[in-house]
Amino acid sequence: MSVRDKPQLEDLVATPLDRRGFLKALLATGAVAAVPGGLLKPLGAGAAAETGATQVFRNACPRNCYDTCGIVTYVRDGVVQYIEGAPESTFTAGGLCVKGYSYPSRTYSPDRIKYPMVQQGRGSGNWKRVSWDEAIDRIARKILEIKERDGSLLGLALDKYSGNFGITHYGVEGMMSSLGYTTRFVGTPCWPAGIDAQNYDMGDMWCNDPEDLADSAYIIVWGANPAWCSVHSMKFLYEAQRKGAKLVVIDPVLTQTAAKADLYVRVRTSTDGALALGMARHILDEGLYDRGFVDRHSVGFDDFAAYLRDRVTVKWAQEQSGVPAPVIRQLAREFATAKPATIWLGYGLQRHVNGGHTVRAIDALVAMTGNIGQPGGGARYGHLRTWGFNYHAMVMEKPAGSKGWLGPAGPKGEFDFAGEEKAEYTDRAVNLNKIAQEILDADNPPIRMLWVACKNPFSQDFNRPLLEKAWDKLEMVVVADQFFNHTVDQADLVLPVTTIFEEYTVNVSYWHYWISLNEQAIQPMYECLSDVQIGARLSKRLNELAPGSCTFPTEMDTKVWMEKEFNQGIYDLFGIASWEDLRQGPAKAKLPSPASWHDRKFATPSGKYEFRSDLAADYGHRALPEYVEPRRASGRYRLLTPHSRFNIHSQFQNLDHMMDFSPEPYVYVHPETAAANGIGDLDPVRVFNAQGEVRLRAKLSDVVAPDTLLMYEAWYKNSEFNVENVVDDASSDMGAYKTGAPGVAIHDQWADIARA
Amino acid sequence: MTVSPPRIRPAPTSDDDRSFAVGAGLRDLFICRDVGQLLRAYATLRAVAPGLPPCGDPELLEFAYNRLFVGPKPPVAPLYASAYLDPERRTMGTVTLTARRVYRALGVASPLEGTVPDDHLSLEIDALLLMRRATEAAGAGPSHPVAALRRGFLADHVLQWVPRLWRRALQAPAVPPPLEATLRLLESWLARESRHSNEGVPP
Repeated sequence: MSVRDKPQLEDLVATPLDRRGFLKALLATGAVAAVPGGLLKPLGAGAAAETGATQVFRNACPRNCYDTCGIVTYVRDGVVQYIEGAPESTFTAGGLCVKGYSYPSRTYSPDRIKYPMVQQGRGSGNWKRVSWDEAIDRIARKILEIKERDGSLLGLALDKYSGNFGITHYGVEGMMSSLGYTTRFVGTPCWPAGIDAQNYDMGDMWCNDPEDLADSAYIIVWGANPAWCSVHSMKFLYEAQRKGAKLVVIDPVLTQTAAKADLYVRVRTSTDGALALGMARHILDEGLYDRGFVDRHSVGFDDFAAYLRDRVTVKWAQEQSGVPAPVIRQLAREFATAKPATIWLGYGLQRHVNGGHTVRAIDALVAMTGNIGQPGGGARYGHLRTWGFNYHAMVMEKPAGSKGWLGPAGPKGEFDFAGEEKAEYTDRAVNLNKIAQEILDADNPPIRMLWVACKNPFSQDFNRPLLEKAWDKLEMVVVADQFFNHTVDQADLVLPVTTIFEEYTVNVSYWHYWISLNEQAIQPMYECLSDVQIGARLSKRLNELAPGSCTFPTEMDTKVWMEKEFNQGIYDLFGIASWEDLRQGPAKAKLPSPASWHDRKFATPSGKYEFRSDLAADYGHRALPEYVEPRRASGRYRLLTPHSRFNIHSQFQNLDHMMDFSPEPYVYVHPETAAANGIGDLDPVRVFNAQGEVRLRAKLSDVVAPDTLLMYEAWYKNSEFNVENVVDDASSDMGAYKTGAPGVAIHDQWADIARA
Repeated sequence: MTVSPPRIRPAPTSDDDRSFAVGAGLRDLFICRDVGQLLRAYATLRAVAPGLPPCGDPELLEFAYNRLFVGPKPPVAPLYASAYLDPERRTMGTVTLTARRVYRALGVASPLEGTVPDDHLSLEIDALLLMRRATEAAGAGPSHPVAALRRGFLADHVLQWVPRLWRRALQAPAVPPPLEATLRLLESWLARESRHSNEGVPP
């Protein structure tokens, strides 16, 4: 045989040589043993042959996304071959988004964090690989040291949020509780102002089934971009349009969703409340409001009407919002006369200093036109109606003798007793949206140790320069994550965690009404563990060092803990007999109506829709949905940092798969603005303000207004790009009532731009 | 599942034995799990490849090793064939499974199958060593199936990606001399293996 005739490698492996007896004979004579220290081992008699048979598993996307897709996973010989969307769900409908399809690439990326590692000097890049035993031992000893020093574990803080919404991942909170009273970063950067607003208006945040958008006659998508951020909702919008509905998008940016609309209205950022109130005024003047709803199902409408007549005109709304008066009147008339009509309120809409009041004004528009409680109608924001699990992994007893924070007013003394009654200890709650300042301010005791899971504060949290300063106060930082990011870069220890195919959990959505099982389809790669398995190892070590110091289970089977989350309420809601039914596919909640508030029994103090909310006033807000001025500009250009289609915050964009589609970040600049600053397309520029700067290239586009700069927030592999360099942590107006802390005015930022 | 730490072995007596020992040393070095194993593996390799420099500062060596090959940052030069040959840079795809099929054709398997991709450099070196030993033990000529498999695995797989690994690693900043020398040793060892595997094959 010559080189020219050489067979291909594929042909050579097609026929196992051992069938010819040659290798068997060699193995019998110890040829394998003749390879000293050999890694490869003989295939034993019981070794699993490659069968070629495909196994099917059910998984779910656990990201912080409206769509929370059901996934069907095909595995052969222990390897995920491919995935598809669950066809049983009429929401997922058999398809995933570009991020969802990249899950196998994510699990099998050579860039994954594979082993526990210790960094010698934060940010140095000098990493040592350690065993799990060593990593857990270091962490356990530090925890016990803090407890010894402070007499409590308030010096240990948890920073966790939405990186993984698999229900069993609330076990991280459980792990903390099982140690004692700790410091918790509470609140949410996502949607708190809107949650509070809807609670003031209706007594809860509760949206229609998004699938009934297809039955709406008039849809306003206000400050949301489902074409990028909820792709599965788009088919319902298209269906509505096919049936004759009008789709209107109101947004400061000409988004891809706006491009699909029948009418796009550019509103001046943060003046949406004025636009909504202008529409309300016109509806009032024209007598187009639903008197039946207003009279029977609401309180405070007369006060609201008086406010509109006294303080709002369409002309005023035009001046505030930049939307021409004829358009405001047209929108108002169309919205009020189409039945049913609905508004989808996006989360970016309320990331302003007046965001909560904006949501209240838009809610009022939907209510006064009688569209609350109607299929195809509604003020759609989100819901938590399907989240009634046991949270077994989260609810853990404190070890006996644990000491903590004494009440919301703070400690009055080291061990305070109110009269003869024992004061009740709590965790110390600090504002998740002001992590930097909270770390700097925390005292008695200070925050000494931080556990970060399902979160990436250095990429996602605000005022990054201040966060860098705050980080210096921390004695130990532990980060549990799948990929290296800016927070891992600043960690002392990193712990590798599992992806969706490597653990059991269960997932529901805050938008649709489906539940999806997440089965373990493959062995965890490398030495990755689930968050709750890490907790079990920590508990075991702590109890070896100090018996009774941790109540978290010391053995953890993620399947068992997934099973523990189910209860009869969940079974009844979804019409299933057991979680195993979900192996056949996602299940949908059995809803008496697709409409929220279909019985018009609101959860407010009055039991009605509250145009006037005394509860809002109790929390320091306007009782009526009045207009609140936007944040004053502090720079030449408003800076928007919304979400891209290629990532969920700092997840996915770093994958090679995604870097092919989106290789670098840009700042989008209106051509007029660019010309005024001597900037050409793709020129390198600086975007800067008093807080910091970002360096990247400019893309000229009129999707943004001339007074606006836009950068999509994301984390690119091996890149310093971070929008948080120029985003501060100014609070939104609402959020403290239902989520523990106000939100963040993420889109109330200003910056300048210059050629770099 | 862990792999056994490498041990210091008696000095080889022939060129072939020495080449084999170098291969075993390279195999062990690229699968180290901590600095202790790394230092022992380097000492073992140096015993059979005296041209290698002293290991120097163990911590610098460890930091560089992890930066180049392990993480937690995306490794500069990942140790998996699929990181170079798969169009999506995805492990456990056809490239990884080709290596698995080579091992199965030989009647062996990775003890880390399912958790570490089969196309790890150390596993592939181990397969080459096994094939070499097997053909030597049987006195097999170049047309023997194992010899052909060895030739094909080298030419169509190993030598398609390992050169890219060492080029990436050698171009990285601050590569300490021991690792630089080891990478060059890997290059020369594979070249020798390739020549050896083609001995007796007509042009």
